Amino acid sequence: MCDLELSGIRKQYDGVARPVIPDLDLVIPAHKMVVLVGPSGCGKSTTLRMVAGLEEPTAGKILIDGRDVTHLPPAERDIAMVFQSYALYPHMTVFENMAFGLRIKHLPEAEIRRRVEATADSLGLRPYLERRPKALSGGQKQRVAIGRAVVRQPKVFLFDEPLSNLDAKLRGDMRREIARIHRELNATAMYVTHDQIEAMTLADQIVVLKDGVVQQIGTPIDIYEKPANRFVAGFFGTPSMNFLEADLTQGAGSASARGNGFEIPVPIANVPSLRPAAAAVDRVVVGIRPERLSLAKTGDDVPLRGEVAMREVLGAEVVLHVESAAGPLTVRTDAGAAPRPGDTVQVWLDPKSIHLFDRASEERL
Amino acid sequence: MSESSYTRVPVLGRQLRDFMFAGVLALVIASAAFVGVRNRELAARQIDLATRSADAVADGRDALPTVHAAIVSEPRISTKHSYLRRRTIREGGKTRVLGAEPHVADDKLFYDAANRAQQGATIAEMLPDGSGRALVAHKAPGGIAIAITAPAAPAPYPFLVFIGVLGLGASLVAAGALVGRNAQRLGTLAGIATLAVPTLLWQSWVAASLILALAFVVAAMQHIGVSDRFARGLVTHRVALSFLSPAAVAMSVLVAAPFVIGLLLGFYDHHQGTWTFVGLDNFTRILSGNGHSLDDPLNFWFILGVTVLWTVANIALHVTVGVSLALLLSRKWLRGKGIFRMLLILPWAIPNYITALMWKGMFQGQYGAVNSLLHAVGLGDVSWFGSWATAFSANVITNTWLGFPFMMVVALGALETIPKELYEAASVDGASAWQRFRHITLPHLRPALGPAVALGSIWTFNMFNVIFLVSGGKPGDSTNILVTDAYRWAFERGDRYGMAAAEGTIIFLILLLWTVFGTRVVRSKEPA
Amino acid sequence: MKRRAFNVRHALVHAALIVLVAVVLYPVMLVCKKAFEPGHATSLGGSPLPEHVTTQHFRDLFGARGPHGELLFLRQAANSIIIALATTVVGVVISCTAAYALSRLRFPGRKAGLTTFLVVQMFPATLLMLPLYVILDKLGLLNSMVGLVLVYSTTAIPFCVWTLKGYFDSLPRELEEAARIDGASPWMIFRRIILPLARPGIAVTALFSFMTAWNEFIMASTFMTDESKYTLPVLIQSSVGQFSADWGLFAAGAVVTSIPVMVAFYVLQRSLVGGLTAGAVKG
Repeated sequence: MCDLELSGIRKQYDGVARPVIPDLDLVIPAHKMVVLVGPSGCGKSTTLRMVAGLEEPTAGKILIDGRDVTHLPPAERDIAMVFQSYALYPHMTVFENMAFGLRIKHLPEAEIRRRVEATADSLGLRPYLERRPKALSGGQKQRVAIGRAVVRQPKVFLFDEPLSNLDAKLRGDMRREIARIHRELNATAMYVTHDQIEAMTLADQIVVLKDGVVQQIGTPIDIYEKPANRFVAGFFGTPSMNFLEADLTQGAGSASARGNGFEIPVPIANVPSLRPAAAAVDRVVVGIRPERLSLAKTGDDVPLRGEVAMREVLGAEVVLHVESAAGPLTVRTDAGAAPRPGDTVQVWLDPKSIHLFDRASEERL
Repeated sequence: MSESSYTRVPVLGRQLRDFMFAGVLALVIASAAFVGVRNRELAARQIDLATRSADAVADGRDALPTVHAAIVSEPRISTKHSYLRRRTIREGGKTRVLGAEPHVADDKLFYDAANRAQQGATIAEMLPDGSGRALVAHKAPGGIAIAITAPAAPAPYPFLVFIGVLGLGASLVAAGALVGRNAQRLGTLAGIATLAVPTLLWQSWVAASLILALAFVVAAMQHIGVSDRFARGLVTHRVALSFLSPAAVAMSVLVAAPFVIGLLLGFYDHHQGTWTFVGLDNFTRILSGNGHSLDDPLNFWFILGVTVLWTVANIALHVTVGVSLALLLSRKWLRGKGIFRMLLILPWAIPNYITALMWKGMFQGQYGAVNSLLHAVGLGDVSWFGSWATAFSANVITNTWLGFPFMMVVALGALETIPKELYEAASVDGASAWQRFRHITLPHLRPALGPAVALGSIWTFNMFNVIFLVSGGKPGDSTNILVTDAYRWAFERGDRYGMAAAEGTIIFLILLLWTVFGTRVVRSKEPA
Repeated sequence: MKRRAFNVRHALVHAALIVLVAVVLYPVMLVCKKAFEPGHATSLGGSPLPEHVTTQHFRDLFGARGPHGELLFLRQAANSIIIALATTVVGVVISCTAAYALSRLRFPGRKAGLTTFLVVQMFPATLLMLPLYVILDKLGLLNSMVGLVLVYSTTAIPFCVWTLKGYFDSLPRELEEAARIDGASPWMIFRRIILPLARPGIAVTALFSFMTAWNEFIMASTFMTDESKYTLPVLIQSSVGQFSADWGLFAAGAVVTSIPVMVAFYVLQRSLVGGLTAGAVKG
């Protein structure tokens, strides 16, 4: 059982009034990859560095496998980290880079050789073992950085935005590589990124952070289908969710959201927090994903009228930017008979797939 | 002081730890006292012995067997060679010619001492060769009575005394630990104070009071809990401590100690080998102009004025020449920029004492390069080192020759960082060359030139070699700057170390003021 | 837009620069010429090209003998080399750990330490010359190579600490973080990661220290009284005495002594300015 637990973590810098992380509680179950995701400055890297021991929390505890490591130096925590900038030792060969941590532990030479070669094999690094880092490409360097972590067989793996320095094509390949390694090693891992695609594809669990506060913790599907607030809803999904301001009126057993140019019946069953007596909820934001809007009516779809301002052809699909009375809308639809800029269109919305957020608190209803 | 600081650290251990730190310091102080005392004591012993022997010989009695004592006569004209004068030496009843064959080892010492005592002075001193021998000489009937003792070593280091005292102190401290809370502090106090006992016995009052002061300080630190925090701090930062220690030790020994000693020496006067404490006398003398008028080189303010003028003139010239050359060299259409740059920094590459001597040669006499050039243009000779203005100019020319490359390189570096597009945009906007210079070039130059001028001004202020070697201070010490003036006090005007040290301290204070305030002003002229 | 046509103004500027360079280099050429010109001139002047060439001055320089018949120049050159080397070794070895601590570690008094090293560097060594003279006198170390190395170390150590610290600052922090996570102790990080990577910086610092000690004149002249203990700068200066000056000998000595450091200077000159101004700006 190698789980990672953060409890009551607080990080504040001297002379800065607002703490970077006010109060964080997080549990990463054993063998799971948890991805911390959020915009720059949200405190995800700081959290990772505190787990690594490179920074000390102002308050709180960090436990690895039940052991309190809060005040221990990194060397004693049995962790390994993959850095964004690879941080390979430039004056050592690939082999030496991977062997360094093992040599410090005074493992026998034969064992070191065995482990390094096995890891190199699994990462496709065998032909490069005698090269220096400057003779490697970005992707190869990142593999060596991963290899260096893997070879130590740590309790917890830490990834600090490892793919940010790679170009887009390489990022996809390396993402799959990391996913594969994680499955093979079945290790506990904490991964930090600002890229929601990495989060969605790699995570067993996603932790969304904003300004040091956890917005939501859940599986990728949960995060996508049931975002806890407007921020999470807008952060995931490309293109991002459409938000329409509306007023909610409730009647007996039914409710509807009314805005400029539209009125959407709200099925109460889908919005459990909407209790008949909760008349205080009045102003809401209606969220609808672009792929849930279509140009053809199906069932009880509600229409929204507007003019196509711009059209982005992606190949099989098309993204339409429509100006409507309710505000700007983004629609993702098949390339088929897509309208042109300047055309007037009717965009159909399925009331069952909307997300409702309180306009003031931005919480999900 | 919190209750927990007592309960967390075992009290006995803490007492002994504090005693250990204080004990080491106290031991160092006591050892220093010992070294001072034993030399004094040895000298007293030996000189006393020599004095008694010299008196004995003067009275016609025998001296002590270990002392080489004799009476040396006045110089008499030699019977064989009438132009020679010799002394005779009578010891142990036998008379012989001083210095004649066969040589006796101490004859030279006797001879020198006799000459010195001839005037009627009494000599009583240790021999400067460090052998521990004392020499006493004074006039006596029949000549000069001189006694030289046998070599003697000073008292050996009292290891046993120190060990005993340390042990006693440690037991007092430990006793205090075991008895109770207040007793702990008393125990520390008493324990460290025991280390002062030997120094009291040796009558080293300074050392004794230092150790007692240390005892009070440590006990007080214990009382308010500082000693615990200090020890904890040392443990937390033990890595940093170990990394810093070699350089820290070296700096204290090589830099801090001489600095403090230099400071202290300013309060003494050194005259013909003896040091006398004179308090602020040196400082007041320097600052009041040493009794000379304002245009006399021996007046501190005159030299200060020369130094400031020297610095300002040089920096102005260095910056002007350096920046102009840099501007020229950074013109896009200039060919051979690399070669020009390489050749123009040559003056900087040459060791500056060679530059100074080289220019001195060129300013020298009729056939020196400078005067030859003046001839060639039809002007007459200039005696460069004959008048203040020309000597000063010679110095400035030399220093400018070796100083402009630095400013040029700094300016070149700054100019290289200016993006071409700024100039292009300005041309398109219709700015003239002067406007481009003022609004683009100058603001980029200032941040680089600021630190360069700050550094350069300090180097120029202290440029010893050029002044010393080119004009040599001529005419008559008037082109000296402060550092050469201090040097002359120390090594040329009769070894007046006290004055030199005092002047050194004043120079240091001036530089400190300039570093703190002046450079801030220079650098604040940078754009935000 | 480039002007292909012959531009008078540009040509004039080039010409003026060439003249200026000639003027600047004239003294140097003079010295070189005098080194090879026969005769014992009393001043430095004349054309920069020698009319006759002789190696007499060099033979005088190398052949000078001391009171016991030993070859002085070799002795003095050896003195210079040994003292400069010793100063360099002492300076670099003692300072490198402190420079690392000041660069990377956090401890109370760090800022004060940095300011101290900066300030100490700005003050002339000549200020300390007098107390050092008195101290060495008491210790009996006047006129000895050990004494002079100690005196030179007084300036060498702060310089080395400051320069090395600047260099360590430029090494990426992540390497040390990776090493810490790999389990290395601070000493191991210093020895196995930082030192190998800092080799260029250490080389530059060492070379500068060597050059500074090699070029030092006044303290060597004050502290060494025996001819056999002189360093090269003292030797060269002594050939230009108060009353008689042998410029040929001086020139020969200057040429021989300057060439090594000038070569070193040209190799290093790019890092010189960077280090100086960066250090001053960072404060």
